[in-house]
Amino acid sequence: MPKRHPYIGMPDHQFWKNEPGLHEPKRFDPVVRTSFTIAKHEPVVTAGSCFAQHVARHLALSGFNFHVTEKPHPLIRAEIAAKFNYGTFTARYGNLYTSRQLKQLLQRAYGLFEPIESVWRTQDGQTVDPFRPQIQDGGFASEAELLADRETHFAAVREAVESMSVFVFTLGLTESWFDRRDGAVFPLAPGVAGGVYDEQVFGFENFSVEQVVADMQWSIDFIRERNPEVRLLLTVSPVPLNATAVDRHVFVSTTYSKAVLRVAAEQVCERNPLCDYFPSYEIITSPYVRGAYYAQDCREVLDEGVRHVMGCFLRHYGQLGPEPVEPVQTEANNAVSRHLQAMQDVMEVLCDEERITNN
Amino acid sequence: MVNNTTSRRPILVIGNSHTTAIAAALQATPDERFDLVNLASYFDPVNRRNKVLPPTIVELFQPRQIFATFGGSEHSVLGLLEAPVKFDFMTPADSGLEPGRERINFALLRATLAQAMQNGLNHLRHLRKLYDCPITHLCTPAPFRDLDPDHVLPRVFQENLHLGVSPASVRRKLHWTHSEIARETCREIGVDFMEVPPESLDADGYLLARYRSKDPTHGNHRYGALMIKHMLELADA
Repeated sequence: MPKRHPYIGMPDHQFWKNEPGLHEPKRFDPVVRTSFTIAKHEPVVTAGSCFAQHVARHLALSGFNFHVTEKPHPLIRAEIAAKFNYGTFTARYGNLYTSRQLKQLLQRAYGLFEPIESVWRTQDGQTVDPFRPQIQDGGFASEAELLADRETHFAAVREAVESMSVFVFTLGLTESWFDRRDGAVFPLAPGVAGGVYDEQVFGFENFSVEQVVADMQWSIDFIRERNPEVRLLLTVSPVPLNATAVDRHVFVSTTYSKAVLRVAAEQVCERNPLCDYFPSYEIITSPYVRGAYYAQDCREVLDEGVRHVMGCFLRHYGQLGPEPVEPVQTEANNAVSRHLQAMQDVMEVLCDEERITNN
Repeated sequence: MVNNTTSRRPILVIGNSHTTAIAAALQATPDERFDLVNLASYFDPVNRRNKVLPPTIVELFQPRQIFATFGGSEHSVLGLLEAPVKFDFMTPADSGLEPGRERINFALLRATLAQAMQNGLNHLRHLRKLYDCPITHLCTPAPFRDLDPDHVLPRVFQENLHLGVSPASVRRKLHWTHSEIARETCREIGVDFMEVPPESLDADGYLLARYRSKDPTHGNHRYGALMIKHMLELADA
């Protein structure tokens, strides 16, 4: 018997008023299907805009193997390392707001692109990396240290690319500042956190759907040449723009950027197997949750919202399996802790003996 | 030893183990202008484990000038003997690195050392609040370049020598960083900073052998005499 109309028999999730979140916002779950699941032992690499930091943190808290390839020397205590962004992301790349930044990070890490801009100074004389100007509080000790750290960082990026099982990338912005001479893009406009703004040298670009798709496709192809089995999750950050360089209201620029990124993510996922779109943006911004997940500034996402997002993530992508592998660093950290305690004991004895004799 | 009378000798030297070089010099050549308090033993003469700067100190000593040397061994704890994972680092003044060692960013090393130094620096902050007179922090002795084979090292150091002594360049940078942190704190709290006596150093900034105690991290009585000479120059200035 033919259907009375084409919507007959379609699943509940295709109908607005059938969504349980309408009456119970916390039940809102827009994930319908996944093309893969993630076992807890599988290394997951995260990157992207500031919202991606929440994803990273909750992955780790949820028992997933949040893969960190750029780690400090075991002499450095965890709370100090965290202040310098070790463990914020898989490697210390800082926020990668645009697809172009991701592409160029990969190019730079593999020696395919060496931008003209290499070292910036802040107004108070600190030495910073133009491509991650806020990665290290106080900047680097010298240009030599910045360059050495960059090499360490690139090695960590390569290790991440080649060893990850899953890559979660959060698209944040379409607006970007670039060097007109070589096309290098920066996470922050020159002059904001280092560097000197010169409109002859630096230009503004607001990436289109086509550009974002092309950049993401390049990055996916590049990664899969080196790690063919990697699975991908793309998501769009729900955090509005802090500022727009376009002469219009910042919220209008926000809706444009998010629309571009959402469409681009859709196209990329359609074209690539084992590449899913995860609806973080939808969970936070949907009318079902009535704006409850934005902080007072109407911009930052509250932890409650992040938990809702990650709850959906775990429900659909989490897989029971072997426990996460213990970090290799643990024994090194323990050995250094024992060494430091032993040295403290030595010094206390020496200092005691100092009082007895001193010839 | 604690007593109940107030001393008004013009100069008070106070601190931890690095006061011992000065104490030894004063023992060899007494000088009534000086009082000296080793925090551990003065207030705890039996166990010598006191770690507190009691406010009653202002009733015991009323000097015109104070020279302080609290802590001062934290850089040795971090790097005198080799850690299980050998390290090196660059400073703003020195970009050299020894081969085969894991590099630590200066900012992290500095933050780690600063955290370790807080106990001693808090004593200095507390002293600043207790006294109005000029206070000068004494820089700890520079590191030694190589161990002198004729030295008889304290047993506890001998027991750990198998770990190996860190390269001189690493220890020199650790001392530099330690001094920078102390200098910055002194600036913040209104305390002066007295550098290492230049005559105690070789051409590369290492402590000359004749000024070393039998343990390599402290100065001896000759070093103490140098410190006294410089302290008196500052006090008279």
